[in-house]
Amino acid sequence: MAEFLSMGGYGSFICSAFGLSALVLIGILIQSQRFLKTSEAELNSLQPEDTSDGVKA
Amino acid sequence: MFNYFANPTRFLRLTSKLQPIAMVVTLITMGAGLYYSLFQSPPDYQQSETVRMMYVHVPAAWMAMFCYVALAASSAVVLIWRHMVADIVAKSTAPIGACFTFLALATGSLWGKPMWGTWWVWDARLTSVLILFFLYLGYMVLYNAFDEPTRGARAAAILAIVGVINVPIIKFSVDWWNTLHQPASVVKMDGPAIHSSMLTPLLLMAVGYTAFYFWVLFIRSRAELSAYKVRALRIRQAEG
Amino acid sequence: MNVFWKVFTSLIQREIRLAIRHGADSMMVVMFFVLVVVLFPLGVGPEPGILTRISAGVIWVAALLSAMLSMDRLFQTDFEDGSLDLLILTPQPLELLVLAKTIAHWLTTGLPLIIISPLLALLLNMETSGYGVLLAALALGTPTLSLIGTIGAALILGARRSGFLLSLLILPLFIPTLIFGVSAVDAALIDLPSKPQLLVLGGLLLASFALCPWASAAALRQAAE
Repeated sequence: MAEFLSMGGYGSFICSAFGLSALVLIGILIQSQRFLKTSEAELNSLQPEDTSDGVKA
Repeated sequence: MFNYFANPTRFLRLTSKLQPIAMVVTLITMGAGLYYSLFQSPPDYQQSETVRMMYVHVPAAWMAMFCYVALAASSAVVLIWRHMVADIVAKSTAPIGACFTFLALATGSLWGKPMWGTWWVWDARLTSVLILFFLYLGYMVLYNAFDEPTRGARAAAILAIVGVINVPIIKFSVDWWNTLHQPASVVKMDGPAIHSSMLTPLLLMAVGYTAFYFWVLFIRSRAELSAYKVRALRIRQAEG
Repeated sequence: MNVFWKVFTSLIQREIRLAIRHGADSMMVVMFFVLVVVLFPLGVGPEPGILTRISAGVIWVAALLSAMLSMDRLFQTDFEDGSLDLLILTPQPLELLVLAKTIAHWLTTGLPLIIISPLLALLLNMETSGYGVLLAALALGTPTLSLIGTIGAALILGARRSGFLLSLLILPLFIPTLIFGVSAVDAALIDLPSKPQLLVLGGLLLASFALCPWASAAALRQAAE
């Protein structure tokens, strides 16, 4: 395990590259989900009676 | 087909349907890609283990350019047909593309430190990708700099189209100038120049990144569409 | 055609006359240019060897910043007092009117920079072999900056925080001009041919000459709507 993590001495670089990628991608995913939730909630609060036009997916 | 999906309600229904598919494709290909790139691919004879960073760097760089082309294409539709769905796609693409560009720069830098001995070199490829990053930032700031949203959308669309000139520069910068950055080895006329044991994880990750783009794009466009409707309703309420 | 030339030249004359009457813009650009360059010897130290080494880069970066400084007023006053709407309504193509404004802008801000630059090269201890190439590179490069800058100036009309926005939009697009402008002078300073870089600068100028007026005119049209 330790040998795998060190990756011939480049472990820290490889880990940060994969870790940073995961962090940024998951970050924008969560931010987008939140954006979707808040904007749909706001829309529903404005037109609570109308759900037929496909807004509520 | 274009006209068919240009209807916002149909577009919303379509994105809602495609979103879980994109999610499943992303999770499967990225999971497999990660397994292959970390455990199942051999170290390179020149770059040893650092070659593994390629599997997150190269797809990010591809997607950075892909997103920009998508941004510019939908911006052209915004300007020519003034269509709202194209505007939503463009606006939703910009932050995703900026993230991919940032990742391409950051992972490239992490690879450069052990391989070239420096975090950054001012060669043509790196500089043109940095310009791409600023174009994305400029697009997003310009979009939000106006009180009237349609003005921002159109001004930003013009910027996106002007910036498209940077895409061929990025693509060919490694061929036109002598740089430290290695030339393309996957997309070549005479077939890929890398071994299949490395091509498998790379392609898996590339498909995963592409599916991820569409996944987030669908989420963001649905959100933008709702925000658009909220704005329209508010205006209608204000006008009585 | 005759009418068109009349409009074209009278627009250039109007811009130049305005610039001379206000007098401020050209002077401001030149003074900013000089001040930025003068800061460098004070910042990096007066050692002649270092100054010689960085002279081309400093002059180019300062020229870039001063070109940008003059840019945000390019269409702003026309936009505010309504003359922009008149320009758009004239039967002549807006692209060519934009070009006339760009030429006038270059004559009032770019040209003074070129004229003053040998003096600054002197202050920065540049070797004599670089002067000619510096002038040639600036002569090819500053019109490109003006042309690219008009796009940014047209895009930011009516925007919030337009000054910051302008720099974010056009400084990245200035980078190619900067790179080849500096490397032309650097090549001349170490006795290498600088013709390739000058040719690239000329190519950049022709490309932006052909493309930028379209983009600026499109931006102006949507700003005036």
